[in-house]
Amino acid sequence: MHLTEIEHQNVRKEIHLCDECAKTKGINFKVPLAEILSGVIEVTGRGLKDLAELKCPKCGITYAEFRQRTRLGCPHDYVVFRGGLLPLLEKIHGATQHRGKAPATFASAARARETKEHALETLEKELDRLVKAEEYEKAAEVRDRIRQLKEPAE
Amino acid sequence: MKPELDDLAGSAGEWLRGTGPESDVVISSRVRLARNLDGYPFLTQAAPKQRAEVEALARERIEGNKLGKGMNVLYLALKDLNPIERLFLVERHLISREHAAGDADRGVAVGKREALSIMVNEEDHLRIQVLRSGLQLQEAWDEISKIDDALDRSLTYAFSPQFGYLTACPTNVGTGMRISVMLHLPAVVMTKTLDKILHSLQRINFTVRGLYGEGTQATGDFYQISNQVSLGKSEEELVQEMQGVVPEIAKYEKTWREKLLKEKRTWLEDKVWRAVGTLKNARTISSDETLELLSLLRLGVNLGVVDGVDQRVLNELFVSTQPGHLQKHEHKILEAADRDAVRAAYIRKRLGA
Repeated sequence: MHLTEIEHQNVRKEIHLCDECAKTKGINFKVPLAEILSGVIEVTGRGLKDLAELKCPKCGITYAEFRQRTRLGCPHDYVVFRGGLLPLLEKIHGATQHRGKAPATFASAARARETKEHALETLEKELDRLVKAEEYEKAAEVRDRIRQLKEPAE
Repeated sequence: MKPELDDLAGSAGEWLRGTGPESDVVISSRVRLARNLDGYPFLTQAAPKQRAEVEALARERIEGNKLGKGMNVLYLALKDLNPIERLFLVERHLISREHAAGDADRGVAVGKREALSIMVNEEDHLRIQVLRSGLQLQEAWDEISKIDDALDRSLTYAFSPQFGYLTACPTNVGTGMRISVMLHLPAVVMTKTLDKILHSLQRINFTVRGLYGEGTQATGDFYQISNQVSLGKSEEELVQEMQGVVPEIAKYEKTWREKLLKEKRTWLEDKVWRAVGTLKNARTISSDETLELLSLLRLGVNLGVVDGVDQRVLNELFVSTQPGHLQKHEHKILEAADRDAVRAAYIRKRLGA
């Protein structure tokens, strides 16, 4: 794994990490950190009482009602009760990320994402080459294009 | 009585054919997918109007959709069916007990040869299932995936890239897939070695249930094993896992069958022939005793102890001697005692006694 940061035209910082080191440094690319944190905050930070009182604005059930009936009220509950559901799904399935098929509309969106990721990968390689060749002006241009590509997704 | 149901009653379902790989131990392979429509609450929170809308929409799309070659369906609205007809569908594994007992707008679409059924408004808006005879998981998955794709073209499923297909119960989320394989394990039960299988299956997150699913007792030495995990693995992986486990159990059962035949032949033959004697001569017989004796007869046929009984007739008897089928056959409601007499007569006739 290679992380390259260009702060100013002449300052560059390169970090090389193997998967093992990445793990020990706490960088885990499989599960975004924010996702784990949101789960922990829901359960520990805000407390179980707050979680129980969470209410879905679409179907009207609370998290406490869900736990009592063990059936959710509508698809949107997966968004609203996410904090409580993540540890629950981990317990039931040993996983929190779907890896199977998707409806056609999502599958084509996923393909578009892949195409974008492919473009990013190519640009990042190009950036790496330019930085090594010390062609900083061109490198900065490529860096801006990478930024542009990344923007709408965030 | 719905005339369409008589057509079903006239022939046995695809899964009862008694053919396919490992069919001496594996009765059937079933794959089901849970799906919900985007924009509607799940059924526990749906208002009567929304339930009716979901049923109408699903029915229209299922009937009007080209689900594939030879995939014409018969749609049955449950409110049009009496309790016997509902029980009849449960016994044929076309709907669940919960679906049969439920009220309001519900239905089931049944495919040709009963290899396909789509329950509408059960726990989820759609429960699609494909049944095959013997061990045919890959075939069942390929087929159900195509049907799912066809429905996906005209309905919008509730889906999230992280959690997959969204379901009312979090135990079904992700792939929404449950694979169930029905096994006949008489030798394992006789030799009291079932616990070993149950323990190893539970360790790898498989559940074991009786003939008619959740919460039912295993009768007639039939066991249904299913995957518990539906999220975090692809459908192909789930199929492969089950495909890896089932032949091992079948081998175990067959080893015990051979062992019994070698070491306790007279004892085994006596048990089988006594079962034949009762089945061919009884004047009244309960449904539990029927299952127990048919199980012995099936074992006898598979081991060559008894011949001249068609595996298919035998498989059909397991279903056609159930209360719903008998009452449907007689076109009237029968008390338990009357059912037992009708059942005995029916078995004698089918076995050519």
